[in-house]
Amino acid sequence: MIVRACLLGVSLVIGSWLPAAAQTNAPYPSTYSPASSPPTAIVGATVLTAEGPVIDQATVFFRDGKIAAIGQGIELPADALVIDGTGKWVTPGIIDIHSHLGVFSSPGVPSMRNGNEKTGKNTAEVWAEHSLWPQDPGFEMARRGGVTTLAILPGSANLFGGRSVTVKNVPSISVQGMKFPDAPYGAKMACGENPIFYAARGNDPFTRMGNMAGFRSAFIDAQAYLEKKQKGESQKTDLRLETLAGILSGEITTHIHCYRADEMMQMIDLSREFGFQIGTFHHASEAYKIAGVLAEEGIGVATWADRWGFKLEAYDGVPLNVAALEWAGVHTMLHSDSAVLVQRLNLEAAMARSSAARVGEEISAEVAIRWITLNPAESLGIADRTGSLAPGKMADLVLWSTDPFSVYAVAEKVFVDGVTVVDRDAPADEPDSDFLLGQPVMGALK
Amino acid sequence: MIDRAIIVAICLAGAAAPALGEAVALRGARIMTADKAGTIENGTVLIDRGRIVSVGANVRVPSGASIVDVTGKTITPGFIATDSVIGMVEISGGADAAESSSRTPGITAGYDVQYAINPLSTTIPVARKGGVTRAIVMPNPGADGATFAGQAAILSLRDGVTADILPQVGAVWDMRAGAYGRGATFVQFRADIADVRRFAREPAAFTEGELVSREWSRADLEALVPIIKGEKPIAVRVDKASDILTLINVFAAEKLDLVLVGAAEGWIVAAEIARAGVPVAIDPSDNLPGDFDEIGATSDNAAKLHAAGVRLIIRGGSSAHDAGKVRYFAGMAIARGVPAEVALASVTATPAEIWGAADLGSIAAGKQADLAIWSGDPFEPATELSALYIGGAAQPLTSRQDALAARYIPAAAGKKQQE
Repeated sequence: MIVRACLLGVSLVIGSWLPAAAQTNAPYPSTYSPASSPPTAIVGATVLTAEGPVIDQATVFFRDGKIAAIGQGIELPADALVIDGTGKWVTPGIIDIHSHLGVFSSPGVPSMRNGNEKTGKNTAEVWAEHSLWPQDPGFEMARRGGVTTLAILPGSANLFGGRSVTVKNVPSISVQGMKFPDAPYGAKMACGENPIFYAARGNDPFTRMGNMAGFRSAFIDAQAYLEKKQKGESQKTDLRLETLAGILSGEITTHIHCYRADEMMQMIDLSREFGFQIGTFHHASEAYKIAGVLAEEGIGVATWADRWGFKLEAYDGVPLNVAALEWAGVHTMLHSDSAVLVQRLNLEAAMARSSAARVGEEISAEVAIRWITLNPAESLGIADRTGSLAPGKMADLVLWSTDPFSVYAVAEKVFVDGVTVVDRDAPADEPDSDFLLGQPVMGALK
Repeated sequence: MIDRAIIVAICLAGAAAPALGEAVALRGARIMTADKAGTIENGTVLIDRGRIVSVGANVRVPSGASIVDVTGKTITPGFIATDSVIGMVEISGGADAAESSSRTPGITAGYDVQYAINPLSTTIPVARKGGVTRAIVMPNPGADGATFAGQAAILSLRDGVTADILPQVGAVWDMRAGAYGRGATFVQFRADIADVRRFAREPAAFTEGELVSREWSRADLEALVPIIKGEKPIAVRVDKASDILTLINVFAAEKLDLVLVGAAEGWIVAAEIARAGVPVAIDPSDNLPGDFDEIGATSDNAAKLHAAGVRLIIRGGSSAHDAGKVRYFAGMAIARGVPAEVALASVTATPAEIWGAADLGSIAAGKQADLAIWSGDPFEPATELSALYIGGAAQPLTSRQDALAARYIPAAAGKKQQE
């Protein structure tokens, strides 16, 4: 099922960002299986593979849901469906490492705010997939923005928000039907203002020192739990400690919501105290202040191109953050955290690139495309299967009307495992989401 | 390197002639006028005493005017951020550094944003870097379910310690359907308007306690007098198609000047909006059914409204911090089928006209010299802003964000040294 051929090559690159593969007998397994699709070739497009240099006038050929060949002068079988890509661009499918689609759904009515179990400072026991509503029309809109894979995270109101789930962005009745097969789990953690504001409703933590105490106490419990587990001693399964023990053992990667540089430094010390590798700092408005440390620690950063000032801890955000991280050698990513921004992660990447150009240092398209494709795939532990265009990888890709770093770029066709999920040349006359189907006025199809 | 030399030349020229009577000719650019002249290739804009004297392919430049070579650049009017809280908000949440609405039920329609604007807000230089020269600053609805949010103003984003504000350019009203219920909110609105008409005729009715649709303050009544006379518009934030139709009917019956803001389902009733001659301010990224008032939200809203003949205003990034991104929102509308010249007008000339500032928003003789000079297509992220003039004065294009970047990011520090 998994193409092992490219696993080795990729793992050399991804180093410490690769969380351990998920257990195969884990509960709530994926039932996702792509539909069949004809052998397809996009011919004559400019191709950004997210692995090597841009290839002009190239052919991307995929069959049986996998990339078969990329390059110039590729011989195509007679039965291949040929799509003219002249003047257009092809990129890997976009991956959003920070989404709440399906857990904070549209419509955003109270009964659909299922993304944060705000009942205590530590709710590591909850799993985002158990909240996820596959009919959220936001998935469909994200597909139209070229997004083929998403990490759905719990919210940031508490120190430990629960487990994330990685999904393929396909129409599905159940979450199991879109769950990325054998993707490792992640766990959401949050620093700073949000857990404190949660406390304003009468619970601890009340301060940032309270936040740290909460993290430390939880990991002390998890250490004891993990030790017993590793010794094979019998104990009742504790869902909360299972997640925390998974962080300590490295089976579960961490997605840490953290804005300020000083707080990221505290979290790094926390990771040293308890011996785990931080996966990704999210938002990280001040990451540029400690770019060298983050690079040295091998910690990824997922942020926006240019969002700041919505709260005090985001006041020092700068548009050059992404570029500064890239220049320092940090594993850099753009995320959305938004049902709106997720539709334009290519524009986010364009904005971040242009900030670099404004100080006279160009960042190439080849590098920038990784911020929204290969780099998040690596942090999510799925880069052996998606995130770049390479033979044997999942045929998750986008045909853009023009340079994807243009404000005018539109995702004309989107493929997930070779299956067409968006086609502007033959627009669907019905929405994928049951919620929108049959509405007297239905706009969100487009 | 060549680019940088030109930029420096522009800055110097601007600094030498900040509306002090020395004419400046910007020569050789592609000029997108947002006016009848359309786009002029290889044109010249002559500015003097803060105003545009002439624009065209063959402009006579008087002797003594400084000439700035902007060959290869593109000049647009400075952009206008509509429905913004810029100047009122330094930090949006949790920092007691934001005001966007009245906090007392005693002042609603009279709430005047001009007093809430801080010209030293760090958000203003950031917006300038996006080519924004003015903002239609609008309050949000205030305390106790108030429907009248207050008075909008046009803020100049020019550098300086004193704010340059055109106050009270229109009112802002919010249905507050959730608080009042639709069956009540329009009834209340018409009763309020009847009281204001009475007050306009007989001011003594106020002191005699005969205005009873609500507990009025004199400030609120006075603020609404120009509105009931149709001299100034009321902007209404609304999404639902059926509500839009109700508003059109009620405002027509009351002979009030309506501007729709939001209008996610506007496309459904585009023909009715066009027939009523009502302008619409929309966010082209608003395409999700966020609630049951906007089940019909779509990315095609802007294009469909335009196709129906509706006057379009593009708004985007209504937060103070995102005001400088309005050019990308115009670009998104273009990507979805709005003609480029319409998109340009939607962030320049159209909002200026609707809020009664006819000397803003376009490049034409007699207009204020609000000019943005770009390295290329003004809607593309890769395009750089080379210079910005507000009222003929060249503006600084550095922000607190640049200072932070220069402190921590070597490339930004290097850039600062070169300057």
